[in-house]
Amino acid sequence: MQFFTPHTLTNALDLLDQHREKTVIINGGTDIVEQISKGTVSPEAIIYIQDMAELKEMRQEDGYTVIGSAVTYKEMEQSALCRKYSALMDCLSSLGSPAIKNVGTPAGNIGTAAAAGDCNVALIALGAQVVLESKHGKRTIAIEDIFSGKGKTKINPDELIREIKLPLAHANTRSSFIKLARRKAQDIGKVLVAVSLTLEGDICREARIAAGAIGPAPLRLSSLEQLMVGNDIVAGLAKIKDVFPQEAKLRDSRFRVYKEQVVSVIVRRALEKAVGGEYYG
Amino acid sequence: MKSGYQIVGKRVNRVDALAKALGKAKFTSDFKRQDMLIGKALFAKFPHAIIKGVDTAKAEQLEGVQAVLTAKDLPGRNGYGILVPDKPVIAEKKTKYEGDAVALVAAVSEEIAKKALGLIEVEYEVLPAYDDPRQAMKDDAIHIHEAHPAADKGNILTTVALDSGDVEKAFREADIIIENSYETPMVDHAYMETDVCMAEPDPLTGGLTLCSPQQAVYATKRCLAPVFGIPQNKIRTFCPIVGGGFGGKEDSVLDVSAMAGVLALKTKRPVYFELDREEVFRTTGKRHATYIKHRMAATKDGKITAVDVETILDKGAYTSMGGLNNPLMAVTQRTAMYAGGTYFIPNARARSHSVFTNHPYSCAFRGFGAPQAMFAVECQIDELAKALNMDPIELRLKNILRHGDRTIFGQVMKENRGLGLEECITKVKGRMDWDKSLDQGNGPVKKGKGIAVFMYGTGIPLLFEGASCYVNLELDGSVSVAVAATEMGQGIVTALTQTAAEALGVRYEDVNVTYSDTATAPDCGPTVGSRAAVVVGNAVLDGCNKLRERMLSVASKEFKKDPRDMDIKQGEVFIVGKPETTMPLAAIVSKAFITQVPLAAVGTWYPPQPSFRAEDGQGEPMHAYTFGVQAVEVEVDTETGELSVTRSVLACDVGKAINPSLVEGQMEGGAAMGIGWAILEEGFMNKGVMENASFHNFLIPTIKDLPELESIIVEHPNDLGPYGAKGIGEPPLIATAPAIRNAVCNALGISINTIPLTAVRILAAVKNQQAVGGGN
Ligand SMILES: Cc1cc2nc3c(=O)[nH]c(=O)nc-3n(C[C@H](O)[C@H](O)[C@H](O)COP(=O)(O)OP(=O)(O)OC[C@H]3O[C@@H](n4cnc5c(N)ncnc54)[C@H](O)[C@@H]3O)c2cc1C
Repeated sequence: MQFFTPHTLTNALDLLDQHREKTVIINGGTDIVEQISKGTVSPEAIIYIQDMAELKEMRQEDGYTVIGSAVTYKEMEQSALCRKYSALMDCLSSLGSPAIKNVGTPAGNIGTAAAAGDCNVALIALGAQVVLESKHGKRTIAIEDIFSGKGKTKINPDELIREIKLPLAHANTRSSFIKLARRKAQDIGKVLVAVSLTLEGDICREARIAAGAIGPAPLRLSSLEQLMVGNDIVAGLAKIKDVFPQEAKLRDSRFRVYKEQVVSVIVRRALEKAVGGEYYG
Repeated sequence: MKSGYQIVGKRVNRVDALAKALGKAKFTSDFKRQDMLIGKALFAKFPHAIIKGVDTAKAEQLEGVQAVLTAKDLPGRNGYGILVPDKPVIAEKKTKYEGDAVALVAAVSEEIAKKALGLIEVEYEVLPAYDDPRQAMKDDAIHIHEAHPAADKGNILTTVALDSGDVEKAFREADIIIENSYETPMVDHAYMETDVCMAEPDPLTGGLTLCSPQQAVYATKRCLAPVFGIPQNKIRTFCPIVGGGFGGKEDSVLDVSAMAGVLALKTKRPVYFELDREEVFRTTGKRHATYIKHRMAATKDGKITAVDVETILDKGAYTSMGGLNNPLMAVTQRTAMYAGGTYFIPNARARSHSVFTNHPYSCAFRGFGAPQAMFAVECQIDELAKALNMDPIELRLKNILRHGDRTIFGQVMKENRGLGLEECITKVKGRMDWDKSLDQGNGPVKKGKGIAVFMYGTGIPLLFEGASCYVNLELDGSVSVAVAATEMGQGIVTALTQTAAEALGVRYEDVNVTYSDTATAPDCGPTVGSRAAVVVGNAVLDGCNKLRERMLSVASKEFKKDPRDMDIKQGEVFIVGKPETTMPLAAIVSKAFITQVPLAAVGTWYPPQPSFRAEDGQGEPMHAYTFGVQAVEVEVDTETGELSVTRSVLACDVGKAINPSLVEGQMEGGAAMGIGWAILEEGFMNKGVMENASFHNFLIPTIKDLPELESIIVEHPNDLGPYGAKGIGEPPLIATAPAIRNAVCNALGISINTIPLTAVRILAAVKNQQAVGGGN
């Protein structure tokens, strides 16, 4: 097995182009290293991408907050650019453990495409765009469209996540994230919900609602968004209250019935949390 | 009781603190050597199956493989176990759980060993697997053991019976009867250090040296000698410090040592055999799951008159510490013995059945059956309090055992052995502000308080209970103590160092205690049963006292004084009342050395002979009991079922805290472990297969799942304990689960009788209550 530690993006993209399917990208390694050591993934080549300064950048540009794909959770938590997104901050506060946040990355969360990927859910609600790059060019794709099934993405073998772009938050946008898990730390969520609402007075003009762990991949819950948009908050909340989202696809498990019971609770709470305590009750 | 101790009762630093804090302390796997072969086991693919054939030909041909063993290749008896040798080293005809090895491999590297395992072909005929002992004990169940050497009947390994008074009459005359069923889960010990053994044949003696983290070096060699066909005196078992045991490493050591040992004997090479975490989950012992039917009779003013309890224990596949008939009834016996809790109950009947299933063998686990039994009783008391509309503390105080009262197993309680339960209750009640009601607010989160009490005997109720050790005075005045007990984080080495230093009158720094090695120390019994600081401590005290007397006698000649007028403190010998007349102990020791006074002593101690009658479960199994009270506050989210333990206050009567910091360490650790058992931990077993065999989904509490753990030490001295001490290793977790369960009931007004109290279980109960209407 070969191990590459490119220092430039060009070099990394060349390597990817040469090795394609037989290559694995290692970012923070918190997902993929376990798979390699278990033998469920056995690559011929490994490309380690944490040494590329180009991927470590965070900046504001053309109406977006741009986060390089080698940026860690810890770096995001400490960044003033990211602190503007409540949903993201909520998400980071309950994600993994300090040790995981020191090395783990949102790009890795996308790459793993776990149904219960915390950051994926927050990023869907925040309208994130994922910039993919290969030797042959660049393309941008909305994060909710990147997942193509359980643990699968539409990223091609010669492509790399270059960066993640978050639209700058509108002054009247409120967002939040709630993770319901069995344990208070270092646990995989049983239901994850993130919301982002743009308000005009009490009227909800735009809504993005995302959920994790209730389908094969992180989902955008458009059916619920429709119940909010155009309504005033109280009315929207009343409409949405006990609705189980039609996008959910629960698999048979010990937690199925439980999830059926709590999804709407967590959606409601996330909405209430986003708009502030006054609607809570 | 003498007070004014120099070292006992002080918060001295652990002897191993610095090395551990710096990461320099070495555990077994740190001693792995390059010349060692790597041993691996091919474990059963099916938990319950007939083995039709094992083909090892391809594995044997793999370059680098040094040995492939199946059941027919073993040097001695293909069976071992602490109580009965019913667990094969390598399964021959049948697999009975996922952890049965069907073949072993030794190879020059781990990679090759693993590859070799993949080349072994096994043909199975799969049998239905039993998850529930209530199914397995039915007459038409398949016998998991075709011919078990000790089982009572079919899959029932043993039934322990306890009878006292007239139960039928008491229930006929009762004003009120509380009857409920309770369930507690099978859980893993989750010790940090995984199981490992380094086995090395000794070409000089033809013997075998086994280094493996464990809790009982002598028991290990006694159990395994027949497996190797080597006499006990040519087997050396030892270990460095151990990364947690909690009862599990009394047994798991046998598994890895048996496998490593037979591979070492076959290859005549040192063999390193380590289980990975998944293998630890699937193959090593667990806490017995229990299914308990508890009936309690009482008068309308709250006097308990009788209990009638049936406990079914999930034995798993092998006997382990499950219990045989008289006298080795072990965990099964404890569930009967503690079926009446800490209360004076004149009439009692308990039946405990230990039943084989296709689960990992159930073994010793902190509390040894008491947590399961106490869970049921302590829930029952709260149910009784609710039915009588009484305060749960008041009801408990009405019924607790006091001086002169007999337990349901017939032992009379004595204040001079330490009876501090009432003081524990009073202190916890005060600290918790018990009578003040909690502010419920009007959101979906409900708050509740709960309490539970416990008792737990120090030591093991076996005829051989007792301990020996060596104590040796060195010519420089320092002291060497050798015990066979294990240091597994609990701090026994520190506690024994304090005990020896106090007894001999030397400084803490001048005592060195070596441990867990059959080559250097005599048998002191296993490091289990919350016994080491007390039973082994007493042996150390005895050895030190012998040497002290000898030295005072030598000194008396020097000072021309009666030895009774002499004392030793801080390593100085002096005349009492004349501290200026000192002489260093080292000088006295040197004098002794040249005057033919022996500097070594064997210290021993035996408690009063334990008794427990098989016919009716009556006797005096332990010489002293530790008591305690756990109280908690909880918050329950009625929309999601999430439970938070927001406050934990634990008081324990430990007789005497040899080192209060170590006692608090045990108390905090016990409460944390109890919280895990109460709210999170459970093995998801599906037809004998563990579906959550990793820390990814077998969840134990993190620091965020724990409130600040408050500890209150209460000291009612045990006149037979060293400086008054009683055991504290296991007791702290015993009352945690029922206290939490009672608090959840208090919060919700719903009784949930199965733990762990996961969000799934709580929400189901809330929804169920909403469906039938009612609740608060
Ligand atoms: C103890 C522990 C706790 C955890 N807790 C959580 C939790 O609470 N919530 C949660 O969501 N996850 C959790 N995880 C999972 C994991 O930490 C996250 O999914 C994390 O985001 C992965 O990031 P990484 O950088 O470590 O990914 P890696 O393991 O390096 O990579 C993951 C996958 O993404 C691919 N990849 C990475 N970067 C790129 C890129 N730039 N371009 C293309 N492909 C790429 C890799 O090839 C690989 O397939 C936990 C893991 C552990 C071990």
